[in-house]
Formats: sequence, C-alpha cells, structure tokens
Amino acid sequence: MSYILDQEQLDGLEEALTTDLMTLGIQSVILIDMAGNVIVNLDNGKVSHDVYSLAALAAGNFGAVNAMASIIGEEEFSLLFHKGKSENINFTKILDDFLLVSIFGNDVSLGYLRLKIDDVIKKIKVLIDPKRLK
Amino acid sequence: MDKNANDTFAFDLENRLDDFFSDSLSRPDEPSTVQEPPAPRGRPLKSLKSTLLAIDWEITDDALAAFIGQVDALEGPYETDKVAHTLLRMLRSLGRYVRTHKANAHPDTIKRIMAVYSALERAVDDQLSPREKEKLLSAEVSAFRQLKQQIVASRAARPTAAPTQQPSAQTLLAVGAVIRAIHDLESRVTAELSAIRKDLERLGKS
Amino acid sequence: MSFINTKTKEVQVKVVFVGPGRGGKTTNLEYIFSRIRHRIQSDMVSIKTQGDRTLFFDFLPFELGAIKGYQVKTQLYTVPGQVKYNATRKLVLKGVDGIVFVADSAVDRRENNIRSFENLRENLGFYDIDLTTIPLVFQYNKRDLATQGIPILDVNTLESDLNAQLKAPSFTASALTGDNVIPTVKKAIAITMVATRDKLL
Repeated sequence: MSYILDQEQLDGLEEALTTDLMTLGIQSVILIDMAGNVIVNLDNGKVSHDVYSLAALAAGNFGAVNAMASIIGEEEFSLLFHKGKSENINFTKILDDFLLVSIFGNDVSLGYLRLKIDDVIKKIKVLIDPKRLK
Repeated sequence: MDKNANDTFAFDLENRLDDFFSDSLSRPDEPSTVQEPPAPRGRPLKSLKSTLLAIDWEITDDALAAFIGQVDALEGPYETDKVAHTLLRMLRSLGRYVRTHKANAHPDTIKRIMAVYSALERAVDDQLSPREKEKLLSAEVSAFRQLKQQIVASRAARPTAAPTQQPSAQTLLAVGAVIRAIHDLESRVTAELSAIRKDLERLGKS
Repeated sequence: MSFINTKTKEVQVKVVFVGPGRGGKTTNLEYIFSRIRHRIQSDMVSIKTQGDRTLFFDFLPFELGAIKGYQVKTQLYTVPGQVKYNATRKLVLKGVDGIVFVADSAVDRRENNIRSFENLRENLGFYDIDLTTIPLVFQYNKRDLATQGIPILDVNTLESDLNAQLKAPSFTASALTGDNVIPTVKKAIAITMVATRDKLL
C-alpha cells in the first residue's frame, strides 16, 4: 500500500482533529498508518514522549490484537482501549490503512470521545479519499 | 549441575532435533476450560447501572433509549422518595439531551449523568439521614444548573447548527424544548425541597 | 525467558532471529515452518505490514517432545529489522534465551549488518544481557545472490566484521532455497537448551 497526501489534505486533517478532538482537552491525537508512520501529530503542549516509538508500537499492537481476533474467530475488535491511572489510550481504525491514536485523561468520557471520533472520521475519510461520499 | 547429565541431555536433544526436522510425529494439545463468574443478584438500580456503564464505553441510540426507559420505569417505585424522584428526573432530562445532540452535546454531560447516578445510588442504598439526602440533592441541582448555563452560553456563542442533515429551525426548537424541560424541573425541585423542609420542621416539632 | 517447570518437567526457551531489515529473518522462519507444519499443532503468527515487512514479530512455537524426562518446548521469534522499529524490536527481545543473527551477504549491506549487530548489543544491554555470554549463532544468508551475479561478501569479511570477538558458531545459508536453514536453527536450539538447563537445574 502506498499513498500520497498533499499539504492541503494534511492541513485539513490537522484542522479537523484540532477542532473536533483537541478542543475536548485531551492530551494528544496521532494519525498514523498501519506501518507505524506518523501522519499527523497533535498534542496539548505538555507532551514530551517519543511519538515515533509510540506510533511504531501502536501499529504493532494493533496488528497483534488483530491477529488475536483472527485466532478467536473474530474479524476485528470494535474497541481497543487501554485504561491508565491518569491517562488512557484509544485506537480507532480508519479505512483499512490508518489508525487514530487518542491519549486522554479521566475527565473525558470514553463513550463521548468515541462519538466525537466517529464524527471526525467521516471528515478524515473524505479528506484522505475524496471519491468517498461519507 | 552434573556435567555428565547435561552432556547426555545435549546428545539426546541433538538426536531429537534431527528426528524432528525429518520425521512426522504429533502430540495433541490439552484443551482448557474457562469458568464464567456467576451473575450478580438483582437490585432496583442494577439494570440502570449496567446501561450507564455501557454508555460510559459507547453511546448508542439503543443504549440511550434503554437508559431513558429504565429511568421512566423507576419513577413509579420512587415516587414517594422526593430526592430519588428528582434525581431520576434529572437523569431523564440529561439522557434526552444527549440523545438529541449526540456528539454535539456539551462535553461535561456524560460526567454529569454519572455524578447524578452516583448520588441516586447513595440516596437509595446508603443509610443517609433526610438532611444528608437534601444536601446531596442540593449539590446535584446546583451542578445541573451550572451545566445548563454552560449549554445556553455555548449555544449563544455558536448560533449556527452543526453541519448535519437537521435544519437549524428544528434544532433550535429541540433546544428550546430541552431548556423548558430544565426550567420545569428546576421549579419542581425548588417546590420539593421546600416540601422536604416543611416535613423536617414538622418532625422536629413533634 | 527460559522456563523450567520441575513439577510438570517442561523446559521452554525463546530463540530470536535478529539482523538488518530484509536480511532473511522471516524467510528463515517461513522455511522452518514449511518443513515442520505437518507435525505441529500451532500456526506461525506473523504481524507484518501490507508490504510484507515485519511490523511486530513472527512467532513459531513447537514442542520437541520428551528428552531425558523433560518436555522440550521452543519459541522462535523474529524481530522487525528496520531502524524505525527499534522500540518494537527491544520489546520482542525481552526474555530472549538464544539468538540467531541473520546477516545479509550482499556487499552493499555490510554497514547494515554491523549497525544491526551493534543495535543488538545495545538492546540486550537494556536487559542486562551480555552479548558475549548469551547463546548465539551467526547465519550468513543470501549466499545464492552470487549465482545471480550480485557481489557478496566473503565469509572471512563477515566473520571479522561480526564474529571476531565472540567466535560463535556460524553457517553460510540461503533462506530462500532453505540451504542450511535447519542446521542453523538446530544449533541455536541445542546451545540455548543446554545453556538453560545448565543455568537453571
């Protein structure tokens, strides 16, 4: 799989993710591809972690979980979420090739965040592949 | 460890590796069983709690409909418990608001629902005195009012509706209905609080 | 990490294939799997990118049966070779008992081999594992490139680049054709198992 995203698309992705997700006060949002490459990286300015290793591990993790799903006869899992003491991480697949990684504190409800993510994914799909109608 | 024993192990191992990578031999795996934990016993708020826990993870139309339905079903049994009854009405109001607005609901709404439910659980399950219950209700009403103000303020700041299929006139009507419901709830809460105070005074005198 | 259950009499070891990207680690495991699949229960697990590059690991577990009263179990892993997957590579190396270093014999991969070996040293150091003491076997893979007219490093160069200090067992191989793949893994499992028993019993 290879893809090209121009500056306009990247700007659009950044804007959608900032407006719909970062404004909720979450720590960071990273859009990556399934090989672990970082496409968009947004955070609240208080982040100092190694986002590139995080992205590679996130992709590997997602791949491993998908392999587990196959083993138990599932096509995929609809929720991949890890709960921490103060920060949590949620993974959402976009199309077949991308992964949205959201890191957020306990002041944001997961259910609500997932609603917002569903909304922003519609915009992302259109930006990445304009031939899509939804 | 004994060097001789290790040497013979090594020798046998090498022979086994030779065999393994040329001949066929298979060994069946042991299946494992998993015990399911027993289902918890029923309590009046049990179904509502389950639905809320599900909503915490995922907000769907079905879950919200179930939530509102369960709240409605509890209003009868708790009709005489003014604090619980009021909290249930707040839950219904908040549930309906989320159902209408979904992702455009105020970010603090779900948190508020969880907090009101917690208060309801305490009011119903814990051995609270009438005064403690009243204090609990007061705090929730105050937070509820604050959220309402924030919702109204954010609507004023963003007069255009979200880019959905709903026309803006219909959205404003829905918002108006919710705000009216909140006002209505507020006056009921105030009336019920003063009724509780009168009851307390009477009890104090007797 | 090695595991000996003296009650159930099981010995289990983890052998990891490491080396530069596209050096043939996954091909090694695929060949091994093709040779033994008819006699093992489990499938090989591969977590890779759409472009068939290892993303997390390949994993192949199998049992060798009872030897001297002990059930001998092996877990073979590969790591992703690309530089950007170092965090993942480090994770897969956790609990490693034995190593197969798969070097790429192509002349233009010489630097990559050396860098990958240094990276292995660093990653093992993270777990306080000494490269000079862990069971290790070298495989100088892709010898078949010579038949296609592609220049390859001679064995002496590879030995002096990678094996001068350790003087570990080494094999020339061609994972694509299967040449010397089985002898490599047999040696790796043998020295790892023996070292494990030595250490734990």
